[in-house]
Amino acid sequence: MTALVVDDLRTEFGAVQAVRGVSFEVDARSTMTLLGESGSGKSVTVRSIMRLHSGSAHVSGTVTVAGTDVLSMTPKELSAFRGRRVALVPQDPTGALDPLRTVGAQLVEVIRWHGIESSRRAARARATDLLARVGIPDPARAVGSYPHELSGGMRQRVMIAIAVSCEPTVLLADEPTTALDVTVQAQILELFADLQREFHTALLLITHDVGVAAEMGGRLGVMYAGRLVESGPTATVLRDPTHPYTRGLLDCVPDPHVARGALRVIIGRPPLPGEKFDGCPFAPRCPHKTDECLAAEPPTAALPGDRAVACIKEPAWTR
Amino acid sequence: MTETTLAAGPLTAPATGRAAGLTHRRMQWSVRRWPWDLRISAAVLVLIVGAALIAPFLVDDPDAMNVANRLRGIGTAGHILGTDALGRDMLARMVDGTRVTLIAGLLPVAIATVVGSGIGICAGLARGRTHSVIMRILDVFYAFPAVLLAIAIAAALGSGITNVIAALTVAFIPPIARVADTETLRLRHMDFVEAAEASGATRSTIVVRQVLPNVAPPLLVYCTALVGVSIVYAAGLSFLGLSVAPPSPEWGLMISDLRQFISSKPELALIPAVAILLVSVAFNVLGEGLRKLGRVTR
Repeated sequence: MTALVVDDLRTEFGAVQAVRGVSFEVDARSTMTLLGESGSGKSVTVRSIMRLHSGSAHVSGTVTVAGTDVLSMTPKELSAFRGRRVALVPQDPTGALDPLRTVGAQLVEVIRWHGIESSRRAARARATDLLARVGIPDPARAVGSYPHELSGGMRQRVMIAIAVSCEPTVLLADEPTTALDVTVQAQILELFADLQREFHTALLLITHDVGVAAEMGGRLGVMYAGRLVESGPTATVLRDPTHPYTRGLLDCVPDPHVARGALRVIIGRPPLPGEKFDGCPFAPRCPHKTDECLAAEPPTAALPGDRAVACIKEPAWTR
Repeated sequence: MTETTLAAGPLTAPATGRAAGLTHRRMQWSVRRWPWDLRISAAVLVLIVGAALIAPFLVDDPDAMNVANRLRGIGTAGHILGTDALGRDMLARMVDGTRVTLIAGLLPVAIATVVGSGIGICAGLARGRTHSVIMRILDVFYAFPAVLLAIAIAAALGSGITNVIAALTVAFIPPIARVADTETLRLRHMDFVEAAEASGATRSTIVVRQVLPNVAPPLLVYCTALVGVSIVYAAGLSFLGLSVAPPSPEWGLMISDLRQFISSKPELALIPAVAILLVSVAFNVLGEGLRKLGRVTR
């Protein structure tokens, strides 16, 4: 079953179009990774799915979670929906935990809001189980600790425990490993995979790290200037990128086998928020651009192998 | 704590679980860790509050006059702190006066804290126009110095302790509201407030569970220091004759009565003056000490 359907999602802040028509689907138990630079609209997409924007944002299109339309929900429905159907694992676990209350209290609270357990004692028992499940040693003690008593990796595990506490249909993870050490990163990614299997959760992961995307597998969507410029199964997209931007991103990854040599960079910069452009937003930086690219923004074209790309030159430029 | 974390490695939780966490907290607030200035101010306040509570059992009638025995200096037999212009015992009057002083110090701040933090939190949570309107109205009050505002209100309402409390309450609401507003604005952009929203917290839950507990500590520190200010202002209003009516012993009123004898018996006017200074400084030091202790916990 399709857990999350995002169709032609557009998010505007006044004149600034942060997300410009993004569409994708994530099935239960499967993973979709959104890859892109800062300002490409990844985080705005996730926040739009949860409707976490302030009043100044205008969100259109459709977001459907387990068959329910999210964008038409009332505030009351939203409170019941957030944390229960869709849960968010934030980028910085340190800031996301209330410094004044114990980890257990914050877990128990979410469990009881959504009526998973009604009694305090049962909720606390479930909290302890969850902490054990996300790999926190001595969970019975950890339940009573304050956030400052835990390490960064442990705090992120707590955030994940909170996120999966109500067995959500969709788990959104906004750069969940950015604030962590590389060794801890791998463990957290593994934990996501385990939890997905256990709770049948769909995972939408956001990252700017090609390595993280490769590790998670599933499907990959590459975002640029508020659009998905390329999407498809992660392995094939990374092995054989069809969009010049994806190619460029892969070239930017340092190769540990090459002792020396300059890293390749993508020349130029992404368009600024609200900047107007005709044609393909990547054209100014694209090594393969022609006059045709500057004339009109390329539509998204389906490719064999369940892939799609928004480049008029594709796939000729690679050949 | 650092040692345990290092020894156990990043994957093991530091050895501060439920039990250890509690002792850790208790440690932070235990008197043993208090700096000397905080201890002294706490001792002064305990003394004053104690005196206020058991005043009638402690000393004789503060209103008993004996004109034959007037204006005795400090150390007079039977009157350790001397006697005033009407021969009333200074010690008895000082001890009895602690009640009015504490009420005039605590009550306005307490009421203003409830009202002011309510206004401030609402302003901080409301966006845009509502916020501006509330804060601009408070700015009008800011245009007057707090003492002047209090004097004006007290003068308009007429003399009496109730009116002094009312006047000081009104004077303290704007600064408290501003602190609450600033803290709320800061909190609203904290990740954990949004994380709670993302976990399904309703607006009211966020106010009760996230905003209030996190706004409370800085507000508490500010208000503790404000009690000292309130005591000085109340004594000032009383000095001007806007507070309690004459026979009742009140420190500000006592200074006012004794100032005519400042050339012959300067120490008598100094007694209530020093007492006001001491109590107000004690509250300030307590506020500052609480702030420092609180910073360690964060």
